[in-house]
Amino acid sequence: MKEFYNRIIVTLISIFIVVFSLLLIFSDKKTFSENENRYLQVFPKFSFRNLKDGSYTSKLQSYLSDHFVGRDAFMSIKTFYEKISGKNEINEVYLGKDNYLIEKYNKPVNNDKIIKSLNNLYHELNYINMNLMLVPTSITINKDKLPKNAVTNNQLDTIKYIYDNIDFNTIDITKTLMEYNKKYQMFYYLDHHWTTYAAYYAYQVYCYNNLLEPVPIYEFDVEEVTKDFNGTLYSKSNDYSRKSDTIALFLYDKYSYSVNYVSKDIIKDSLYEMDYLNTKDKYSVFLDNNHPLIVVTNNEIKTKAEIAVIKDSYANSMIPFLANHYKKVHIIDPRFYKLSIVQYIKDNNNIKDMLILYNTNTIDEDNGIVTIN
Amino acid sequence: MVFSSIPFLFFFLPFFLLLYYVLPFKFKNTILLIFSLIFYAWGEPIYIFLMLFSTFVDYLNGRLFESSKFTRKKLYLIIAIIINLSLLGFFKYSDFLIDSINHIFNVSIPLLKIGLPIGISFYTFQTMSYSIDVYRGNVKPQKNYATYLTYVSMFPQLIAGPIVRYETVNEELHTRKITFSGFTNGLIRFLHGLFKKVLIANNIGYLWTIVSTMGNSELSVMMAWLGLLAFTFQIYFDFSGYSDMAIGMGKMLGFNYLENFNYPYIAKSITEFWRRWHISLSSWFKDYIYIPLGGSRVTKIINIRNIFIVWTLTGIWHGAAWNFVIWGIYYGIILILEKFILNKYIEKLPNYLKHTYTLFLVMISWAVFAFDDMTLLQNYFDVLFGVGRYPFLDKTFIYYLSNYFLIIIIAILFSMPIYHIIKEKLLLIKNKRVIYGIFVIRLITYLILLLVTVSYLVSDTYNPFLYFRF
Repeated sequence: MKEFYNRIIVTLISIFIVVFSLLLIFSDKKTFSENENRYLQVFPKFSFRNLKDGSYTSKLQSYLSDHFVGRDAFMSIKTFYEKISGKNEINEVYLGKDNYLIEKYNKPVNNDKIIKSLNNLYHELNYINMNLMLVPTSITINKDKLPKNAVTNNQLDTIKYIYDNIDFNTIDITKTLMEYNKKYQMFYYLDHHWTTYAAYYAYQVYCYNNLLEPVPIYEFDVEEVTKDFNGTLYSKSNDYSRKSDTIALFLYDKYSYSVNYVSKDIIKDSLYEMDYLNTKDKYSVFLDNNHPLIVVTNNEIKTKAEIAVIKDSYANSMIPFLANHYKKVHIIDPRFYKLSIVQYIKDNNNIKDMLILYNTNTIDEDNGIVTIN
Repeated sequence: MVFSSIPFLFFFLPFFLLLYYVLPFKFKNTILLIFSLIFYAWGEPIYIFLMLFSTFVDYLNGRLFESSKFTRKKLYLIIAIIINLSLLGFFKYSDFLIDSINHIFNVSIPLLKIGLPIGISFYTFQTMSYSIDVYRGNVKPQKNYATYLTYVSMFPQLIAGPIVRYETVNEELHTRKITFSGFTNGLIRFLHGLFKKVLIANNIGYLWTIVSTMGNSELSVMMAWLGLLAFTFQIYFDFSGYSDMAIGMGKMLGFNYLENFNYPYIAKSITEFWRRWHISLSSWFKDYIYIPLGGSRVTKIINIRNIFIVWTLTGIWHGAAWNFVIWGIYYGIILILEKFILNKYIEKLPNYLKHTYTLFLVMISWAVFAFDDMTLLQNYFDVLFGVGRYPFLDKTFIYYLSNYFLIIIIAILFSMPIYHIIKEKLLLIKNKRVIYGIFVIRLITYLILLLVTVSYLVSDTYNPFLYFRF
């Protein structure tokens, strides 16, 4: 009798395996995974050399894992299993309280290189009013939302260390973000970016530091353009049990802008690319994701002043505010901009201000910034 | 290719089994051989020729024995063993040797940087056991090279054991029963191994990775012990899971390999531990080195020497680094002490103290095993026993303990023969409804565990095999 039951079990398991292998062979293959925001492994080309060095078989293995039918569903099964087994972090993401997913902060390794590189930049462009703004991420601002007993590396130590060693202006926004976090959500639940509110208050601090008068928050028309934003941390953790985010745009009708995506040679009349709201990658609504160089021109403003912003993606949601104070905002992403930044700034002699804006997580991982000169 | 991967589980194995079962018996060895070679070439397309050569040496040796006089046989055997050990020595130990010479004599001979051929330690021991057994007249030499190669390269046991001796499968190579119940029991055994490897070993291994990469300044005493506990479980579930998969697939093909693990962590002494851990290896050393050296039927001093030789070799078999030598000698010394002094005291201890004594020594040995960098090893020991200088307990420990608590409990339970105890209890049940209920529960459990396992394989981020490079 037991033998009979065992046979049923192994038969069903065999069917399961065969069905999935047939599905894997005959299913349509996607090229891009929206959830992971990356291209999937293509079927490797056979050559004797690839076989010999092992790259053929390892790529074949990635290909099969990447195209496994129901891959995303399987990922969420894994997360579910890890959650019930008591794990509080998955793939470097803490499963925080009150709906927050919080990205881990790894021990920084490039602090001194960053300091050296930025100081060099400053010494070459010493006529420029240069500002550094390092943004602490959710792990610092939402410390109380971390899982119980979680021990993290301290971002504030990193910020302090870098600020202490930088030869130009530094802007501290930690207190501001902490303060306003009680009133508004400063970080998305499921994405590693800051919210538009956080970007606004950081902009306010920038203005106070540079004797500009910030546009008061009530003058903006705050519009919630989506309520189902599932960002990068959602993809990394595959924890589908959480509530999606809302993205708000702070619209301002006093000025019109022209946005020049220089490398693509495209000029748009809006700071927002609304089409992204229909995709998974919704944060890209701000200035169309990552570009090496974008120049935003304010069509009506009287000033001649221009600013250069050296930045990561955090800046994308803050530029719309800065654009109300400068004739032109030159936005340079050193991860992708491969020409000399110094030369670019010297060539545009109306640039007198500069803002270097990074979040504390990416600045350490970004090789663009250490090779900035 | 590793067993716990999508290509193996969803392509290689089903496709192979289909052909294997459909083809008539006389082709079964051939198809097994072809697939085994593909299996090996998947990870080592070049070193496959090394394996072919190594097996050919021992095959030829066996053929030469048939028509030789006794003295000639001995010569042939010595030549075969020299060739086997030279290959193993060259590919596994040359850089270790060069590095040691460089250190001792303060010279800098460049390293050869040869990659270790997968499974070489395992298949060299298999082919050597064949030559010796044929020489001793325990088995008849194999006349067909393909059949002999099939024995050595058979994929279930090729890359990480168990070390299957020729005499174990000799008959089954020619006549074996391939039955549905063999398939059934084999697949269930295979799944147990797969679950042990993916759901327990990989999972708890992640904790060990975290702890072992922490610097001393971040560690507390308890955290170091928690990490060591994680490694203790990882290595057992990884390796015994692998053996389960091998034995299970053997059964599916009609081969009966000997057991390789017998709940080592329930041992009450180190002597008993080594009767339960990696049995195919310890019995290999016993039969081919310890006993030929005279075993224990010699004077005390010679006996101690014999144990010492065997355990130094056992240590170095596990890897080309000094920590493995220390690890082997450590066990050699404990086994000598137990044999001549401690056993009579240990016997009088209550059971819980016997277990504590054994597990403590075993865990210490795993710390030595885990670090092939002596500085790191020293640092880790520093924390393990550094009460006073390091915090005893910290928040990090509490955090990781709570994260891994359930998996540790599961690992403890399945380190004990709980499955067999429950199974035997259940077999006594006669009530048909209850039996049916148990069947439904088992079916659901297997399917859920399989789903979770596949989800891990699909995510494929953390899937290393610990015993892969031995």
